[in-house]
Amino acid sequence: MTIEAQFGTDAKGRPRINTTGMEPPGPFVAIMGWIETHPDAPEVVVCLERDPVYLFPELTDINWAWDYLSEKPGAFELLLKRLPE
Amino acid sequence: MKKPPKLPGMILMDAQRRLLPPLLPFLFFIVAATCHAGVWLGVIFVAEDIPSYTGGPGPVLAVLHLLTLGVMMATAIGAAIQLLPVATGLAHKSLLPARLLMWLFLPGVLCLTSGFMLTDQFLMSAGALLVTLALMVFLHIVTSMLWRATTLKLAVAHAWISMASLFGLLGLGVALVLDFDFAWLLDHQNTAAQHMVLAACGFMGFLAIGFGNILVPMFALSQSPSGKVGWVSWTFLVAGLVGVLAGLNFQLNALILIAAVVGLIGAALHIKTMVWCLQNGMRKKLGLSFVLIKGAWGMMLLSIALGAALILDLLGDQGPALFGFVLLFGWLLTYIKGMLQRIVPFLAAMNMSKRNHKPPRLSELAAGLPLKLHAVCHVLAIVLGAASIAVDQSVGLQAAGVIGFIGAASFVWFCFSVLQSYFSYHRTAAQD
Repeated sequence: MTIEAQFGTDAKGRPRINTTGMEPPGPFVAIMGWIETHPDAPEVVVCLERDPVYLFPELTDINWAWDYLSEKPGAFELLLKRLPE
Repeated sequence: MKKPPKLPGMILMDAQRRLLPPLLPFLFFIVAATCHAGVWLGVIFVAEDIPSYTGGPGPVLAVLHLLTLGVMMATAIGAAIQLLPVATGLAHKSLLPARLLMWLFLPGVLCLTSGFMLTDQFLMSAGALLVTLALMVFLHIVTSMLWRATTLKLAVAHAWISMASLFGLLGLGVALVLDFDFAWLLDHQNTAAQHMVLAACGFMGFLAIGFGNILVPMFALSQSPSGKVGWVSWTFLVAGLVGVLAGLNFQLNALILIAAVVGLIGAALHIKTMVWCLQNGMRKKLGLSFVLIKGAWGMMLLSIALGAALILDLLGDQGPALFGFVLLFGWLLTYIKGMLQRIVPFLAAMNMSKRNHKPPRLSELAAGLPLKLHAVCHVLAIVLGAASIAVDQSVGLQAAGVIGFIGAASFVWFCFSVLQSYFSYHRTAAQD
């Protein structure tokens, strides 16, 4: 069964993407795809099973930064933020 | 206790454990880029012998192995030892095998290709021994990771076939080298053909297709293609590979032909899934790398068709060389170069986020000119090279060699400019 990303908001009302259970490159595609389709979004919270090492070069490339909100084995939560031009 | 705040761009934490010391995979990529230039130089010098080449030691075999081992195997090693842990989420249990691999592989390739060049049995045997040891270590590294992998079943299944092929091709390779001295094989040429099929289609082909199933959707920002079609493609490709090997072994041309058709269907289905990713991906501008990758997919189909035509004896005296050129230079080398120009800056950038210093953008890591020059020269060299072999024109092949060498040198320039950015970043970060 294919697991798809869950899109919603967190307790603070920020957009949230939960990619738990997705196989690579699903989480990468879901997150980068969301950013591409939301050109005005200033931030998004993402939940992943793994530390998204593959995501950082692409985020840097589009001028986004990241901050860890929580990190446990098998559960990482990051806040991705658009940087000012 | 509350953790100290972390600044953007400096945190990789646990992920760093899955990243090798960056110079380890990079060394293999630099070797691949340098040998790529060496291969085209070699083509210039052995151009007269290539169109009629059907096997045996000498400069052509040396150039061939500089390509298959120096370029393709080195790329496969560099990519697999770093991308597999990132893709599967599994860390290397120890870095010792990866370091050992480097010390065995490089002298092994040097020794083996020198032995072929000089037709020196001692160098050939010593080189074969070192390369075999190195690749057994590589087999151990990859299979121990595949064994633990619980995700990416389709890509892992491709990798298992690739590793099984590597095991087989190593055995046949050693047998072939020893046969130059002991003449113990019943049919040297037939064994060499099986060795080549296992190397190009089994090992490199399955590895390239397996990685493609992960990397293409990732670069195109596409959903993963249909798993069912992927498994059908895998089944056809495996059946095709086994059929060709059985056909060669028992000298059944009809079986080889059927297997080629089966393999062609498998390859076409794989390409269909990849094209679906490109059409449905959110990122449409994929740059020069995908011009090469798309060209390589076309060459994959053409090479299988040429293989079938070769069995039907439709290609004349230049058939074996033409088939080998389209398969190795047209399909695999083009695909490798397309993927490498994405992977090299990507891996460098993943290792440039350790310190309190903003990492550069991917597009800032290297100049664009070398890649443009490389792409134009590579395509020209492949077309001119294949046409020259087909019409038995060594001058055309020499010109292809010169053009290919300019392209390869541009690629070396690209790799070194990425490395320069990497070192410059770490120097500046250390001063901050």
